Amino acid sequence: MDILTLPFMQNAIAASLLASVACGIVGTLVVLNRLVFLAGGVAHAAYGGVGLAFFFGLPVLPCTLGFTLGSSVVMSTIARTYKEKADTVIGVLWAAGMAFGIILIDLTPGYNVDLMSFLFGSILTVSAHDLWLMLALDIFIVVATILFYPGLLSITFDAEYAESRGLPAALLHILLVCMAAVSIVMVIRVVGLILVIALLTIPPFIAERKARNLASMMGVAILWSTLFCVAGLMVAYWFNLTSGASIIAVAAICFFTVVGIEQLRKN
Amino acid sequence: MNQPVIDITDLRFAYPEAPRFTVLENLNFTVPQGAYIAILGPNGGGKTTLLKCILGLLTPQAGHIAVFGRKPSESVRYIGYVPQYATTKDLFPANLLDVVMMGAISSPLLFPFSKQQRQRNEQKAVEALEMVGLAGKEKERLCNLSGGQRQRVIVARALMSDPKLLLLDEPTANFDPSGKFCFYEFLAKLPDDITTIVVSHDISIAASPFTGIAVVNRNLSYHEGNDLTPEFLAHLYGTHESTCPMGAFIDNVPQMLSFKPFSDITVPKPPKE
Repeated sequence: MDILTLPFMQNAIAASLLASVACGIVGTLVVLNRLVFLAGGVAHAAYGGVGLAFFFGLPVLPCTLGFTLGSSVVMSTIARTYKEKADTVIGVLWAAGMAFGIILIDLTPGYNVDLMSFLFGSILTVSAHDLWLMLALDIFIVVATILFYPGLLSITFDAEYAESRGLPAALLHILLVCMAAVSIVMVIRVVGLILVIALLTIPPFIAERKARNLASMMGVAILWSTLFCVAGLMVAYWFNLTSGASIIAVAAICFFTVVGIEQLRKN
Repeated sequence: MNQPVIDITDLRFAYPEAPRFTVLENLNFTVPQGAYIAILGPNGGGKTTLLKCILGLLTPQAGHIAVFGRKPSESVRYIGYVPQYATTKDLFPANLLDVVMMGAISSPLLFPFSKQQRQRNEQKAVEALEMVGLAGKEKERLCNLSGGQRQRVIVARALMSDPKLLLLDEPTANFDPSGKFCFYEFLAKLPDDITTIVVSHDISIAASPFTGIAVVNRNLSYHEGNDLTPEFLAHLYGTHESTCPMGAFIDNVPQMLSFKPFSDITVPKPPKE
């Protein structure tokens, strides 16, 4: 347990907990609303924000957050307006956002930041300032979820019915996608933008099996996400592996175990 | 005569993606209180579009719709809606009570709900489940029910808002024939002050105890029995040029109809071609 006395590891565990709160809540809504592809698009387009921050010398996290929120609103609007073409358009924005970021980083003079840290996470380098920002984003997500719980519950179960009852389904959908954007930016620090989708989907997938209601599914997903992050960090430390990949590997093993047990029971 | 529940005049609707293709054209329809009407027609005939116009989810290019004498968007609290494909989220973490109580949500925010309000809603949801024949199953999950039972849960959800108008879109798409019959019998027994409109492509439901049948295929014609001829139905469903097995069924439809006609439904007949 010596590793828990290391300051960078303490920060990493705190970041895991904070990211897990966002992942558990928003991941549950993303999975139940079948927005996994859209969330993947938002995560990859976030790289455009990273490029923008480096090109103009702006702070990375706020700049990435702003860019990701903008791209998520665009994707959400397109997904609702052109339902049949939504996956194609999201796929294009997914690639275009990444390409935009890469070109801007290519054009940035003297750029020497490790690209891999954004693609696969850098949880061991999380600073105290980052933790405060993550806490603020978590508070936004928790407050928004509590405040709009009836609306989010209603559109998640049946968006068309919610709209017929006069609920602002389009605005609630945009709120949900913005919450996903905020979570993604947070989780990029933990596992990177390529692996973020696994941490958003695997904990809710497992939690869905036994949850009694939406709130309990969110709670159970937070616990699973925390377990994956902490166990993955330990694995990374003991075997000298990349932390983001180790976290996802632990989550994926649990995912396949749950699916395997389910299949065995069915047979 | 009481104010009609629905009053539609010269309705025209085309989707923005295909503005030249009018899905509904010169459609006129008046529905009195307490009617139990089936709206039939072939796929793509505009049935669901008409329903969504009545709900205010779609805005027509021309014409006028009044629901309880107001704009559709101002009448949502009087309408209970059972959408098509409403019950596909089998694993959704909610028991039947939770699902039915979603029918009471009229604001996206948490704070209008007090503890007393929640208790009242729970009691109402229990009663709604009793009304649809699912008493004692409040704690069951949706995935443990049959297709017919799930549809009843969704009807119970619609009843939570004390609707005066119940709109159902293809409610028995996945039912077997006997389940279908029982479901429409059940709808016929709802309180008299609820006006019920069922939309379906399935001509076999015409045998259920509706007060009348409207047929939509771009425009609308209203039938009380005698004029719903095999020739008309065969033309409507495109079976007149083939040896489609449905033709034989259609031949028997007029004998199967069991109308309780409403004398004050007024619908201008479309001009004959």
